[in-house]
Amino acid sequence: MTRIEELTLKLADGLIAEPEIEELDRLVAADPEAARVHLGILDVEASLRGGRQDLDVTRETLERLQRLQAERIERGVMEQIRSQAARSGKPDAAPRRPAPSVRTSRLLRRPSLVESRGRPSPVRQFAVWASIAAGFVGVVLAFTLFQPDREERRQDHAAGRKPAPSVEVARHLAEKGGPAKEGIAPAAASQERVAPRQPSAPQAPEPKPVIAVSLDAKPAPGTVEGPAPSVVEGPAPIVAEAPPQAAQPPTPPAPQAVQNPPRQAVAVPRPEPALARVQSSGPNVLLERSGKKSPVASGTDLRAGDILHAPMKGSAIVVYEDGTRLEAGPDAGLQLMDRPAQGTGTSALAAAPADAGKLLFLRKGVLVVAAAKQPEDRPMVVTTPHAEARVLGTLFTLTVGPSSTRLDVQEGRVRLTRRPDGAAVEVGAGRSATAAVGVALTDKPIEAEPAAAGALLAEDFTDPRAAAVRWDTIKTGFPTALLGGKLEIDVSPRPPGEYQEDWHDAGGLYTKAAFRFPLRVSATVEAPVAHEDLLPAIALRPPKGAKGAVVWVGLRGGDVVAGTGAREKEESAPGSALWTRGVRAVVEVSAADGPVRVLLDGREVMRYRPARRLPDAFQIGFTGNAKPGVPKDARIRFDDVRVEPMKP
Amino acid sequence: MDPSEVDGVIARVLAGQTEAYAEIIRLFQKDVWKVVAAMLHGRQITEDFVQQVFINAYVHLDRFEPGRDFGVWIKSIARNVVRENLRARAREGARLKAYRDHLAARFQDDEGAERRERELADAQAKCRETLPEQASRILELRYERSLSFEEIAGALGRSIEAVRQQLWRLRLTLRECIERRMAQV
Repeated sequence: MTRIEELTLKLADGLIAEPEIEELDRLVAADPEAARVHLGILDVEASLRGGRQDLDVTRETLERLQRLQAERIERGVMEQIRSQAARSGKPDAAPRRPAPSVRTSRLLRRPSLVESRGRPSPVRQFAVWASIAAGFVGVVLAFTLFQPDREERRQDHAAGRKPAPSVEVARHLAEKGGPAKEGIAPAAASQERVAPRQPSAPQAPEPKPVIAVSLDAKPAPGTVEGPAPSVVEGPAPIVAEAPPQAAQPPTPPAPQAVQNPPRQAVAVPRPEPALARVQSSGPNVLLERSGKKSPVASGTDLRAGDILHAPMKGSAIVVYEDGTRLEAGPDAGLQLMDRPAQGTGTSALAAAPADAGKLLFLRKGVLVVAAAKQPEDRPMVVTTPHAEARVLGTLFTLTVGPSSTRLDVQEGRVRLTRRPDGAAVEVGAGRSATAAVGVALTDKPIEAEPAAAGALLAEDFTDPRAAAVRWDTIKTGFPTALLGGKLEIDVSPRPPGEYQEDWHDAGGLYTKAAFRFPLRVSATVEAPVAHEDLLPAIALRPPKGAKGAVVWVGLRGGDVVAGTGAREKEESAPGSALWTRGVRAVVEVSAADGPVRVLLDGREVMRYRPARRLPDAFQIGFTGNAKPGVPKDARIRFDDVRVEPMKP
Repeated sequence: MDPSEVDGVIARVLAGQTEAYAEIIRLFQKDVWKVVAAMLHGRQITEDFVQQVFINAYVHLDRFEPGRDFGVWIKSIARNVVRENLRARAREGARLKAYRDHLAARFQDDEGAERRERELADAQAKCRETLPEQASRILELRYERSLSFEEIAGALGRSIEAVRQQLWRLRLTLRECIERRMAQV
C-alpha cells in the first residue's frame, strides 16, 4: 500500500491526523499520479456510501418543511404590514416594536391597552396593527397546508402549464438563490412571474369588526359564547400567494371607528382563545375543527373543541403556556376542552367548574404527558372512554385500546378512576395500572424490555414505560421529558435566580443500575446551536453512598470538553465547525482503568485522564447543563443510548 | 411507480396535500442520497443535505414539468446543493481542494454527471460480484447498513483493526477493478 493510498483511506475513515492531512495535501498537489489515485479512492468511497439502505428522512424533512413555511409566512406578513404602515405617511402609526406573536390577540383584550376617549395612542394603533397581523398569521398558518388556490395550481400542473410560484417561493428564491438549472430561475425572474397572479383577496373577510371586538375590553354578553369562526373554514386571503399589492394588509380602521365600535361589530363572534399550540407535527397528523379535518402545521394554535388525529406512524407535540407538553400518537385522537363535554367525563369531571384546569379527552391511542406543576384546585384531567386521570405535575403515558385504558407513570403520582363504577387507584412512579371492565384495578411495576443483544443497556426512549424502569430523573426545576422518541431537556432561559452558581444541572437522566469497567457508552446528542452557555454531557458518577469522582464529557461551544467533579482538570479539544448550525454528533466514551477516550462520529478527539480515581462502579448520566446566557428556546436531546462491554 | 403516477402525486401536493410529498421523499431519497454522499460528509450531515434538497424541490415543485423524469430533476437540484456547499467550503481554506474541485467539475455538467454516476454504479456492482462472500458482507455492513468498525468487528467476531485493514484492501481492490471497467466503457 502506498503512502497516498494509506492517507486517503485514513481520510475516508475519519482517522487521519492534522499533520497527515497536510502531508496528503502536499502529495496530491505535487504529483498528478498521486492525485489520480487519491481521487479514484474517494470516488469509490462516495459510490459505496451512496448505497446506503437504511435511510428514511421522510418525517424529518416534512417537519422541516412545515417549520420553514410557518416562519417564512409569518415573516412575510410582518414585513408587508410594516411596509404598508411606512407608506401611510404616519410615522407614529408604523409599529416599531418586535413583531407581535399570535398571542397578541389575547393581550389586546386587556383594558390597559384601550383608551376611553381621544385620539388613539401609538400603543392603541400598534394594537390595531398587531391585531391585523395576528389574524393574518393565524389564518395563514392554518392555511399553510390547505391553500384554496392550490387547486388552481394543480389544474395548471395537470394541463402542463407552469403556474406562477407563490410569493413564498419567490422569497425563498430571493434568499437562497435557488438551483440554477432545470428552470429554477433566480429570484428576480420569480418575482416577475408573481405579478400577473390574481389575488384571492376578494374572498377575505372584512377585518374591521374583528378589530373592534378585539379592542373592546368588555364585549357584549354572548359574543364569547357564539360559535368560534374556524380559521380553517374561513375564506381568508392567502397572503403568501397574492401579488405584492394585493398581499398588503387591509387598511386599518379609522380612529373614529376604533373609538366607537358599532354594536353590530361587537356581535361578530370572536375566536376562542388558544389553549395550547402545536410545537411539531409529523406527517399525516390532522386537525379536526368544526367537523372538518385538515393537515396541521407546527405553530398552529389549538382551541377548545379541536381534535388532533395522529396516524399509526406519527405523532404531534403540543405545548401549553405553563410548559406542559403532550405527545399525541401514535394512532391517537385527542380533543382539547375548556369545560367538561357531555359524555366524556366521569361524575367528578362533570362537576368541574367552567374554568377548570387543562381538560383533555383521549378517544384512542397513546398520549405522553409531561405536566408542569398544576394548581391544586385546577388539576389537569385526561379522560378516556374507560377512565379518568387527574394530575398535578408529572410524567405519564396513557394508552387507550378498544376496551381498556393503561396508565404508566414515569414521575409523580396519578389518580386513575375507572368509568363508570368510580373505582380508583393511585399510581406512583415506575408503576402502571389498567382500567377495564372485569379487571381488578390495581397498580403493578412497569416491565422493562431487555437490552439489545450484546449491549448492557440499549435505549431509544420510544417507550416511556420501559425507560422509567431504567432511569432516574435529575430534578432541578428544568423539565426533562421523553418526547418524540428522545430524551429532551428544556434549558431555555430562566430568571437568573433559578440557576446554581457556575453551571446549572438543568436536568437529565441517570441509569438506575450501576456498571463496571471496561465499557463503552455512546449516544446521539443534539443541541440547537453551539453555545458557550450550553453543555450536554455524558457523566459517570459513583452510586449513592460510594466513593469516587464524577467524570463527565460534554459538548460546549465548538469544543469537546471533559472534566472531573465540578471544574477540576477541565480539558477541551476542537469539535466540529459545523456545530455552529447545531450540534448533532455521536459521542462515545470508552472508559477503562486508564484514560477516558472520546470519539465523535467514530473519530477519536480526546483522551482524558481524570483528576482523581474513577469509582469501581458507576451510574451513567445524560445531562443538560446551562448558564443564564443560554439561547432562547434551547433544548438538549439525547437518543440511541448504548452501553456495551469491552474486552479488558 | 411509473412517471404518470409520480405526476399524479405531485399534482396532489400542488393541490395542497402536503402529506403526499412523503411519498415523493420515500421514492427518491436514495437517489438524492447517492448524489449528496459524494461530499463525503458524515451520516447526519449528509441526511441534513438530503432534507434540504427535498425542501428546495418542494418550493420549486410547480416548475417541474409533468412527463419528465422526476428522479433526474431532483438529482440536478441535489447537485446544485452540493455545488453550493463546495463553494462555501472552498472559502474555508485550501484543504482537500483537489477533491472539491474534482467534484465541482463533475457536477457542472448534469447529463455528464448522471451518465458517469450510472457507469460508476454499474462498474461497482460488477466488481463487487467478483469479491468473496465475506468481503461483500463487510462492505454491506459498512456502507449499506452504516455500521461502525466496532460494530462490524462485533458482528463478525473479529478485531477492529482486522476489519479496518480488510476494508482498506477491499476499497483498493475495488478502485482498480472499477478503473479497468470504466476504461473499457
